[in-house]
Amino acid sequence: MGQQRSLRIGAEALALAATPAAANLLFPGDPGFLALHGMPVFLAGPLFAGFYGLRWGLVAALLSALLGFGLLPALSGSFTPAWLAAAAETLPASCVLGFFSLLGAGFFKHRFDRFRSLVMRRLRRITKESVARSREARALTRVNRVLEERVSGQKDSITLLQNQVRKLASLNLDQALSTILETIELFTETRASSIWIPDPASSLLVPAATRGWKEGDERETALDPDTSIEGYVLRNRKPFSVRMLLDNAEFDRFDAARNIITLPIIVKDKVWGALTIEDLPFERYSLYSESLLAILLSLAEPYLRSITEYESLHAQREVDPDTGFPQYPVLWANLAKELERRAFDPGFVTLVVVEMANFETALERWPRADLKRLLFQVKEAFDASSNEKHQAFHFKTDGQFALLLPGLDQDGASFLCLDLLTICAGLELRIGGEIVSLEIIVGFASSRGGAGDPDTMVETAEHLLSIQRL
Amino acid sequence: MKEGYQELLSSRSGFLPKTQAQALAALSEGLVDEAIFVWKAVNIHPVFEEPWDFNDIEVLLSKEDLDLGTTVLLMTIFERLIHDPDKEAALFAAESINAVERRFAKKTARLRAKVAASGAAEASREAITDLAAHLRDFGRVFFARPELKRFYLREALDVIGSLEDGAAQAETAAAGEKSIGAIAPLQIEVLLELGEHEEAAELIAAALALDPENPDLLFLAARARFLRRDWRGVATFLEAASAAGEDADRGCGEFATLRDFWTGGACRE
Repeated sequence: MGQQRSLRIGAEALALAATPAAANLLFPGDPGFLALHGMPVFLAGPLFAGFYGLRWGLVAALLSALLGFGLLPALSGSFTPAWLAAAAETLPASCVLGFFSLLGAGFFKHRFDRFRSLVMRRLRRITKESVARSREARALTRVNRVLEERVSGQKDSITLLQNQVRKLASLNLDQALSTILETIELFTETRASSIWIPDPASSLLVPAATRGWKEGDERETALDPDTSIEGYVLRNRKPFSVRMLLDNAEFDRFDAARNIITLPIIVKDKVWGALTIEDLPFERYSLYSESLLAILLSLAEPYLRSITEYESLHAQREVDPDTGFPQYPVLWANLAKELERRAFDPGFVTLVVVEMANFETALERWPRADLKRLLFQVKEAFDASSNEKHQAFHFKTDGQFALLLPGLDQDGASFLCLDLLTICAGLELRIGGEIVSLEIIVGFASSRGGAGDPDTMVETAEHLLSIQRL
Repeated sequence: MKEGYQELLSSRSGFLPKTQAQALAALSEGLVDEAIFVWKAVNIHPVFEEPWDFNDIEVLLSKEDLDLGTTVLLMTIFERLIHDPDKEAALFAAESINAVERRFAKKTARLRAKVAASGAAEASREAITDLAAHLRDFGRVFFARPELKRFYLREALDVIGSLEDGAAQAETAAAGEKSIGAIAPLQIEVLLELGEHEEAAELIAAALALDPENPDLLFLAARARFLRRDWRGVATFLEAASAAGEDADRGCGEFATLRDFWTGGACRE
């Protein structure tokens, strides 16, 4: 490449040097342009130095002098002593001038080149810097956006956790449990979860709250504490995670099909219930999620403690002081809960209302408290006859009580009412040794699945009672 | 940090950016101080917080190239808001859901056109993979509407089916380059999301027969076992994925971490 360039410049130098000589052919009377002090010949050197620098300028000057003052006069036959004498007289001054012009042009060319390379270097640096800066700015904008979106799009932020924890301070157990499950869903992407507590009436474990259970799905709504993982967790106060099944034969006798993670819920240093994670994405089943669940439960513990304390106080207030049986609001709440459970566990719920039709008349002879207790003796007689304890509650008036019977259909309820009336007919109940005559009427309502609502069932049972009163 | 009027007065131009991105742009133009950018940067709060900040939600929604996670988060908010007793809020949610759907539908149309225009087999496969992956995301966005979710996931399967039978495709790819390509794992993922575990298991078995040491495929197999509640199967496939991952020089050890978790013994107490 460099050699090619040198050849090209050499050729240009030769062409330029030959130009004054060629032009001189047009003036045969003045070989070497002596009349012009040889200026056209001397001009080639500075001119070329201006373009290609001092060295090439010297080469062009020498070639030009050789051609203009040597070859051309020699070829034209003018190379005579007279011509030489004339040349010696006219050329030295212009030769000196030409030489200095050549030096000047070379110097300026050199300075110009240096300046140009300096400017170019600076331009290149600035361009490079500008490209780097714009790349950096683009990256920073991207990072800024990602950070902004990450914060905005955070689903498990500490502020959200605080908001969720704040919701727990409501003294409403149902709301608190559903908030716990909601928080768990937000933080671990759980798709189905439930909280199980022991049911003293049935000695089974029942769901106190559920999330992600779809209506129509068949699910167990009562668990045997001896064969369920929840029962194991409640008894042993130990957490369970499916990976424990891999190297532990301890769980072989349990039904672990539902449980992915089950943790004990500790309230007041006692196991109050069990949290079961039934479905979560594979990627979320990790040590992190396990730790997170434990953290969330420990955060909820103080609130659950206050709620359970409040609930037990409230429950005491909701018990009739004369009979010790729960009041009507408790019946209503239990009925609602049963119906809710039946949405996932198809079956019947039956409400039976027993009324002492002559209660008001009997009040004229016996005190109200004694009569209320007497009425519940009917329930005890029924329990004794059927060898089964039934859930009993006060109904709307003092002369009524209600039984809540899960798993009994319409026909079963009719037969049960007949049994009840038969038992009442044979009963001899006394107050202070005196026999109290009982006029018992019975109303009932049955609901299949979660179809009914508590108010409708109460209305149906009351309607049957009102017909019998007539 | 000064706030309100004081801050406005102290700013050079009186311009007060609303978002962090706007603050950065204003800072680069010299309209605001660095302090205002810092203030905006540290004052972002998650949109998933009640009471809902509609402005923030709108700003986030207006971004065209939102990632799937953020879109799903926005849809979670809208699905809650749509039941809000405040009609304005419910309307906002409904319109936003429409906007998200429109955006996805537009991209679907664009990708379908690309598939139609792609001539060569390789280009066509790539375009179809993109379209199927997009339809899978479309389905995921409608997580709260099972019918729509199923519809888009089915669409994704149809698109994959239009290429050729997944297993056969896997075979072709495996024969050529000893890899099952991208379409088979995508098909397996969609099947798993649709709850078609049997079909997914068959496809996994077919793909594994061709490429038994593919760590991603082994991981998918573990995931499929997890969904079928075959815990021992999960551990087996994770072991295999971990070993294959090491062989494939996947230095991050993601599979090894999972394997250690599954085989690490007792639960955290």
